[in-house]
Amino acid sequence: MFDETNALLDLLGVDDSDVWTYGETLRQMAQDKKLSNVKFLRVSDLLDIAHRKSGGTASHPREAAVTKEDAGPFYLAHASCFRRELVARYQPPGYDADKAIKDDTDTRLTYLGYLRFLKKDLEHKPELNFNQDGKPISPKKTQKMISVIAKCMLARGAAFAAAIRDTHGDCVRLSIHPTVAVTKFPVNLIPQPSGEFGPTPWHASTALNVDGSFETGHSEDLKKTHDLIYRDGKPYYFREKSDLFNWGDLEVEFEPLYPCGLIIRPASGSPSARLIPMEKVRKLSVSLSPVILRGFSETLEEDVYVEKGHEAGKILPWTFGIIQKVKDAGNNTKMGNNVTSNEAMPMHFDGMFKFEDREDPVTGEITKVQAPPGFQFFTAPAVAPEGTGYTLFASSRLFFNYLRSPYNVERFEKIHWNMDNDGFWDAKCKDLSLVVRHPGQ
Amino acid sequence: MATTSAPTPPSFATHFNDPLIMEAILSSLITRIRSLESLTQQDPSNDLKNNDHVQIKGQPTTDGHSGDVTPPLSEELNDVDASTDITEPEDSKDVEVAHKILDIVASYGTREKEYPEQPYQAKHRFLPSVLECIKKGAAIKLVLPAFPFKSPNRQNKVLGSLPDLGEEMALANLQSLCDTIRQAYEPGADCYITSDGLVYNGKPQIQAHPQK
Repeated sequence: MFDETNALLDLLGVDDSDVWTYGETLRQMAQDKKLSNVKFLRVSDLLDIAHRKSGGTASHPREAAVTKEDAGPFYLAHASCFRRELVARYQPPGYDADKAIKDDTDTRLTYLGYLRFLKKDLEHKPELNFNQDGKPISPKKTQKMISVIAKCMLARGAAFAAAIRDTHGDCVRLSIHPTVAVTKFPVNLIPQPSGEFGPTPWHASTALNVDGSFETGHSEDLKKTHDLIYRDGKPYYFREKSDLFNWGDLEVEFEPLYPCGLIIRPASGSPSARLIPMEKVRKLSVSLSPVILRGFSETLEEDVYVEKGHEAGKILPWTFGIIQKVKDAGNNTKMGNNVTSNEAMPMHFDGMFKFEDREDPVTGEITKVQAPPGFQFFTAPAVAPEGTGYTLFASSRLFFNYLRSPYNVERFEKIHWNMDNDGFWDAKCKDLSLVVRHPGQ
Repeated sequence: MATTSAPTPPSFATHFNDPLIMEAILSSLITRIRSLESLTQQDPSNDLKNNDHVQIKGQPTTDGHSGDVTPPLSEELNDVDASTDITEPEDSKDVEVAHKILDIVASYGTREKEYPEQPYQAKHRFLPSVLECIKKGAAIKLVLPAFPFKSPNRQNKVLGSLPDLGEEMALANLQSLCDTIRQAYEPGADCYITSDGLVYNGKPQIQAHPQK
């Protein structure tokens, strides 16, 4: 039984070198994206911490002098030792998976999760489909084998959890498994449009939808509705099929941003901004804002800039013209200028003071109605020094998605508010709608 | 007049490339909603001719709570369970911050609800360790066993053996959790990902206890 169990567990994994490279790439990713609070620990690190805590000596030498180049080969050479030591040190003696599944809700939830993904993970493994004589194995037997693997994983997981408790018992414990949240907090690594727990990124492929949402799923399903997108020659994600991403002769690459937004770059060279299909950009920005077009030329030519603006749609001019030129004049007071004035003015948006006369068809009474623009089009003459020049772009899609119950957009829409400001924007406005629905075109 | 003396707004400055600071926006907005709604709390069927600047057109919603009046904001936002199992007197401000931090952590996941009214027990379990960090002024420590390796099924499930957009978004999301905690607590948080790749890979060299 033991041999079969471990032989089966062998099926689950990948080469230890894959594990190492995956981990190294993750670390590089975190570094490149400046995710400075995301840190990584390996099994060997946990064992090191445990040794230091207990003041004992390592059963297997792990010199701190191992250089960066040696780290990979060292790890691979000793991977089995680390695994052995973890299990020897932390596997609860007499661990009974069946009992744990029965007695502990979280274990049961984890076990069911394992059954689900193992079925798919091992779909193509001949050992699960054919016996030694090459005859097909009944689905029932396959299911039994998967169950054995899952229970073995639970035992391993129990050892790992014990190691975490021993070395990080004072930390807030998070988990990617469905849980009743008694001993750990669930974390939704990639929130799904459904709001439900989705498959984790290592168990699935990730897709970007035109409505701005991300989701994870199996590649065989996603490829029906999404295109496979490559980065640096490797398959990277799926993107919903849409003509908005097809720019004809102008070859571009789209980079999705977290938590929202899109950077669009020319695939090569720096073609003129004149070539950008502005109607597509406008439509993309409805759900994928902010859309950043980077690496094009002639972006500071005023006539090109205005022409592209006209191409995007009807331009709403400022009182003084079409282009608002913003420059930081170094005035830190609330009288600075309309962009850099340091005044308390919450809930302002550009075009807030644009009103149209609306005539009541019955009474003939004329009221002023807000008519703000639906889109804003920027071009940047200079890059702000690192750490300065920030602008907040808020995604109302995400905002209302995460707005906690019982609050929702319908409820907020009923609210009106007044504004009285005495800075640069000396103005009084009454009866402003708290929420205005975007026409979405 | 409208609600006056708005506090100096927090630095709403975020580069669009950084994770969106949802909680900050939400908290600020909720504070304003609170004051707007409290002006109408006395009379749910608000007379629209009332020259109050605050108008909530239409009836307040009934959200399954008892009565017709929408409950005040503060009750809904705080978790119902007030018992904290703290035996020694704690600085109430620290406890308040600790609760905020735990609420933030809870907001990043969906728990399986066995019973809908069940209090969120993990928040109580980890309250002491969060308080410890706050007292020391240290970053909150989060630990997450995750990111073992890509599934071996590269035919119809995943795209390859290396991290891709999924990992990129997931890591950014975890950074955002730390950033959101920093909004409530200046020393912020660190998330330690303990990769369990080796744990589920291959067989141990020693005899493990048999399953049955």
